[in-house]
Amino acid sequence: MNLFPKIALICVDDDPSILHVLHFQLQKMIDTNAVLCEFFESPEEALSTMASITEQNIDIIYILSDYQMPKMTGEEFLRVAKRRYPKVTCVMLSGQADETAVEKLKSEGLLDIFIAKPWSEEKLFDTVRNVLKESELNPSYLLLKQKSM
Amino acid sequence: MKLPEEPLNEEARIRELLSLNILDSEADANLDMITELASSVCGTPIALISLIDSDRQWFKSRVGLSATETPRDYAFCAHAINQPDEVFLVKDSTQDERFVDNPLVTGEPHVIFYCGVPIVTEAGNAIGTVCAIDNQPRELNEFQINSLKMLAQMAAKFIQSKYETDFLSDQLSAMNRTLDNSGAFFLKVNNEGNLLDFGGKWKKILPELTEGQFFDELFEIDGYNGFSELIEEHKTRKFVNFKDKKQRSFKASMLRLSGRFMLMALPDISLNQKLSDYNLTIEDFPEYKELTDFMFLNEIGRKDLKEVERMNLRISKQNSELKKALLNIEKLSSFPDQNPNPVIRVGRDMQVIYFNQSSKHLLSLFDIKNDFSGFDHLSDLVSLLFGGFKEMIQEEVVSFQGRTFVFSLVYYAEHDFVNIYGFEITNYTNKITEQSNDLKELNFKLSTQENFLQNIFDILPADVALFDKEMRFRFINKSAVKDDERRQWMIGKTEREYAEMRGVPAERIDKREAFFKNIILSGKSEEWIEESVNSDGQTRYFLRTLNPPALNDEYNEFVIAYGLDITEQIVSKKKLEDLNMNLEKIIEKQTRENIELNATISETEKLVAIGELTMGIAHDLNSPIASIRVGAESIRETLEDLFHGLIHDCTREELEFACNNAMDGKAVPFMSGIKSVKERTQIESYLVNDRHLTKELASKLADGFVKAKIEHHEKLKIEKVLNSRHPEDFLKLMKSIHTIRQMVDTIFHAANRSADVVSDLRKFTRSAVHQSKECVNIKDSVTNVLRVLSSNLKGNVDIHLELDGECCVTAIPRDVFQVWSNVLKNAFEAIGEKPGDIWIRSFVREGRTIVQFENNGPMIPQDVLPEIFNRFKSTKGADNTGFGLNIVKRILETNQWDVSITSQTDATIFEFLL
Repeated sequence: MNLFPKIALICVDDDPSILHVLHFQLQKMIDTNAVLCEFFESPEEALSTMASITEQNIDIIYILSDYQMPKMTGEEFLRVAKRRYPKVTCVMLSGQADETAVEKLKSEGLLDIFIAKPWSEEKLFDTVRNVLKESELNPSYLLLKQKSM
Repeated sequence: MKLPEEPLNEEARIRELLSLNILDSEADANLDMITELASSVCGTPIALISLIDSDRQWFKSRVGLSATETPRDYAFCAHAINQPDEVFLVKDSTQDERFVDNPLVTGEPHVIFYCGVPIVTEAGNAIGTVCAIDNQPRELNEFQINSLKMLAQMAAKFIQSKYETDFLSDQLSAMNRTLDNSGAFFLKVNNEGNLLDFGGKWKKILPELTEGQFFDELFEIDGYNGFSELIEEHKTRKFVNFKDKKQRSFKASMLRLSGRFMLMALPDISLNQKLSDYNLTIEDFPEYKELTDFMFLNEIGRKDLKEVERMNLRISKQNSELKKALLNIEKLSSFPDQNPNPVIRVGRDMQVIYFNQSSKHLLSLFDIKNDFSGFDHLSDLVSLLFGGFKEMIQEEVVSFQGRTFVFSLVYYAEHDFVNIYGFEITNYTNKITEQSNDLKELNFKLSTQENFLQNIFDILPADVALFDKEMRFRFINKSAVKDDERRQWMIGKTEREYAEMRGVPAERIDKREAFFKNIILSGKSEEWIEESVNSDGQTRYFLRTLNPPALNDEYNEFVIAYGLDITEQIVSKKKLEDLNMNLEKIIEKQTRENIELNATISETEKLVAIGELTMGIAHDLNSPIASIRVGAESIRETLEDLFHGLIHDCTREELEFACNNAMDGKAVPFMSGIKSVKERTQIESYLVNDRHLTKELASKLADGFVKAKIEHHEKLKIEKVLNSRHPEDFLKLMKSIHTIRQMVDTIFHAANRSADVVSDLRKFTRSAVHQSKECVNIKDSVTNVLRVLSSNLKGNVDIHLELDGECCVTAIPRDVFQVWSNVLKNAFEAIGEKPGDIWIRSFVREGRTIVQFENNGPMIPQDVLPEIFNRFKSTKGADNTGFGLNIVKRILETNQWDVSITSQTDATIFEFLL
């Protein structure tokens, strides 16, 4: 299969360890040839790369971000992302974010799903699957690796 | 020259002198003999009998002197009579200051020597002297002085007896005259009682009287039944009282002559019978005085002549006084024309007999021409005077038409007229009226003033009372005592009496009295507050003052007492005191509550801090934990894969190669997605184009190369793989081992991170528990705090540390953390969402360790700066409570650190001096 990815999945977290383990988990779930997975340590980096991705006609359908980050916070990042990519599903992955803030973001439509650290792989997998389903893409992009759970 | 004094009995003396009728009388042989004797016995050229008149001395007898009288002022004898019992002796008048300049001394007759003995009457009056005078100084021996004394006595006797004799002879001749006159009233009656003859006056009295008429037919004799009974008593002379048919009385003395009786009769004039009753007038009795004497004589006719004489003497004395008085009046009446005051004479018939010039106006005023009976005010009085019902001299004040007169009315019995002397006193009365009017006005003004003052005092809300020095009420105002009657009663009563009346117990009265007396004695005024229960049972408080009279002030004699009802003030004061006490209690309570609140707040602050810390830590630990978990999980999975297949199928060489690849410095755990895609494409194309592999195989292998992190330019590695027995499996192996290595790194880093967080927490908790001071490194403490607060750190704030690693401060670590964390938190909040910077510096300045926190957030307003450490004071808006800085303040105080805050636009510096 020589697929050029048509969709992208973005992950942002200031802790590289998190990005590493996320990478490990996602590449088990997803055919990386079909779905572009990018990992960034800061929202600024992410945004600039995201721009070049979309230039290549790749849809960004899923953003996974941390909340507490130096410089730009997760909230700010999502706000910008949602403005630029209205259809993107935003997921927040955070070790610290109070309910009110989360609710506020959800009510504003900035946040679709919130996952608290430490997270279960299954939860993560669910969100990805849902997004892929919704985007009406070939489900074969999704590699079901049941046994890895 | 000394003027002679008047003796005390001068008036009586003069009277007696005058009564003796000796002044200006002819020479007397007897008295001349006395002066002769005096002159020869004393051997003086001059001897005198001098009589001292009111203003002169007159010489009754003189030897060696031609003058008959001298002024009394110069008379030596005038001095002599002042000591009736003594001899007045002047040996040398030129040496005597009383007489040295006396004209009789300096001029004629040059009285140098004088010796005079007073002539003293039986009555004790010194009427004059017998004196011997010389022109040179001399002395008299005892014999001569005694002789003079005797001569003076003899002179007195001579003068008095002469007077008596004269008087007697006068009386006798008067009697004779009277008798002669009474001859006009004689009646001659025979034995048978027939009227033989009668005097001319009888014609007036009894016009029908004729000779031959029987006495008994005409008259009734008192005490006798007819004339015959009268003459039965054989007496040569007797006194007879009889009445005529008209009940008119007569007195007569009867002489028995041979065969006839001579009755010398006179009308018996008395109060009840007037001359007019007898048809007689005063003219019928020219010697009326003698007539009364005669009648008086008749009254006591049977007594001794001596007795008579004595009586006569007395009478004559009285008469002489009367004479003098009448003389004086006569003087006045002798020239009434000249009297500037009105003189009117009215007769018995109320006709005006005479009026002087001055009275013309008066008479016209009262509209009197001839008939005085028109003078309403006085006519009655005049009648009464004529009737003898009043004293002979009367005074009457008459007001008429605005004019006032004083009238003196004098009845002259001998002339039977009344003289009226008038004197107008209108001006005086007017003046008096004016004055009395003025006085009335003054009194009125005074009483008005008094009323005015009384009113003022009554209106005063204070009690006012005036006492005199004996503590008697002199004035009380209405406020002090409302009942008017009681007030009236109180005036003049003492404080004690009033208190007793009210039933105040005795000791209180005594006490009060003593208190008042004390104040009056000391002269100081006193003020005190008195509590009393009024009639309604209320307790009222009075401020009372007592002001004693100022000493030595004759006008300020009163003690003034004031009383002011200050119940309201006292009650208010008490209420205020209660309120104050309550207030204090409230404040106490508040303070306690504040302290509790403080404690609560501190706890709360701590909890908040802990809460924040916990959240931060939770977050900080969450990531490492997730990393570790997933990392460990991935290693397990990978190892499973390895052991379940991959490892069995590979050669040792392949394993070595895989391990080397893994350890081959590529710290990047993953390639970027796009790069991966590019690599994959490139590898795939190389495999297909250069190595002539099938697309399918090339695709698979390209996948594997990317996963194994081999890049398209790493030809040697690619060859190695292609030359392996099972390139796919080989690639999987390489990937697995690579993964393991990466995950181990990840776990390692994560673990380190966790350890750091825990370490920070330990530091924090340790510092919270341990309270002892230690040497705290500034740099470490700041870094710690920053880590703890990292959750507060947002991306917008850059922190710049310029910390001296050597700076230390001895303090409780927790305190240090508190200060830094509070200052930083406030700085974050101040900066807010915008990009900002915080500089933290530490250095040593002048021996003190300085730590500076600077931020370029908004300026703190000047008026807020001083308040900034007050709790609840915050510049950050209503939602923020400035808890933190308050805690900082306390820590600063405890450790004696100072802080200075400067704030300008974009630069706020908190500088701590430790």
